[in-house]
Amino acid sequence: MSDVDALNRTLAVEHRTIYAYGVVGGHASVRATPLATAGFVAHRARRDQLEALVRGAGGVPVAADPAYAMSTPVTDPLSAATVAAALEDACAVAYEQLVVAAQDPALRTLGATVLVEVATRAARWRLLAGVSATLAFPGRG
Amino acid sequence: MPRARSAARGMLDSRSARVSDASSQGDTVTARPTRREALAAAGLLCLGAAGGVLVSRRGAGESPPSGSGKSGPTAARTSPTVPGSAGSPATATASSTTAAPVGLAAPSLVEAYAAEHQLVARYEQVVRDATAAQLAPVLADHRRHLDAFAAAILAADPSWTPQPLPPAAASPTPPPRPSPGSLAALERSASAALVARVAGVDGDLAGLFASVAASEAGHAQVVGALRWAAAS
Repeated sequence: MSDVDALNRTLAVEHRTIYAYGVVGGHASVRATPLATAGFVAHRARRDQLEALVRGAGGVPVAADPAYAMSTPVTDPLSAATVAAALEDACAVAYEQLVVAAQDPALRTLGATVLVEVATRAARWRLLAGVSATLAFPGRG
Repeated sequence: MPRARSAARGMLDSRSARVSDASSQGDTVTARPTRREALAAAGLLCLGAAGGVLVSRRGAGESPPSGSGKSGPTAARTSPTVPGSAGSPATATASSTTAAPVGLAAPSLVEAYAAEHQLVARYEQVVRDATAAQLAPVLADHRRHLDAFAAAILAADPSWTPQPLPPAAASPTPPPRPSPGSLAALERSASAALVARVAGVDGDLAGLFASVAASEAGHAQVVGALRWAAAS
């Protein structure tokens, strides 16, 4: 897999995450709203960065779908926190795969850096949801 | 399928992938986006009270992401490789935890093992009485990290012998219980050190370093949120 393919695969996950964070933000508690906002902003920034990297490598960034189906309903602050944690976990998988696939060392470092970011937010969401917040191997199951 | 990877696949499916995935996963998948979701996607709905999230509209009408589904969580992994490590002498830190011969094992991997070993030893020392239940999951994660690093070293050098952990009761005078903040700082430091190692390795080993770094960062959040009595 080329680095462009790996980047685009990660970008597709960011598109879905950004969409879903909009849904999460609508149901987050007042206490969780700063985390929801920060997560949304962070993922948009990473999306933009990934798009720029794809273009810089001569590729074409994958586009977002018009909408995505939420596989878990978000109806209240607890479900919002639970879904947000799962979203970050999904991003962790994507970035771990980017690290594994990337040929460029700088890209691996970027992937690891973002993996740390999303795992940190996932832990914070799990704390808010009142569930066990630790994962031994984020992104790897 | 491992839990996190399953979540990654099942949490959100693009509409193009939903039909095939829904039947096989058993997830609660909506037949179509709700009105609220559709509005959000169209960028018309500002979700959330008090500084909530505004969803922008991007890519409407464009083709779905081509990457999804091509290489899922079960994609084949490359073997751990460490550029320049083959045949080179190990230059691990002089920690007592790495006293065993390491042969062909990658220096950075052995150093990562040593650092994790020290973290485990640290937690072994401080996990007692009221803190035990709170820190046990973190300690369990660190032990799994240690096992993973040891397995990776052994894969590169079957003659390598892992150093056994010192028994928790070996210390005649238990050290003072650290503050949650200091443990969080240890975790953040360990995480940063692993991220710094990722550029020097590739393949699955890079993924392992990154994943453990992420775990340590999550630990920092968890232990930083703990509260326990000052007296031990």
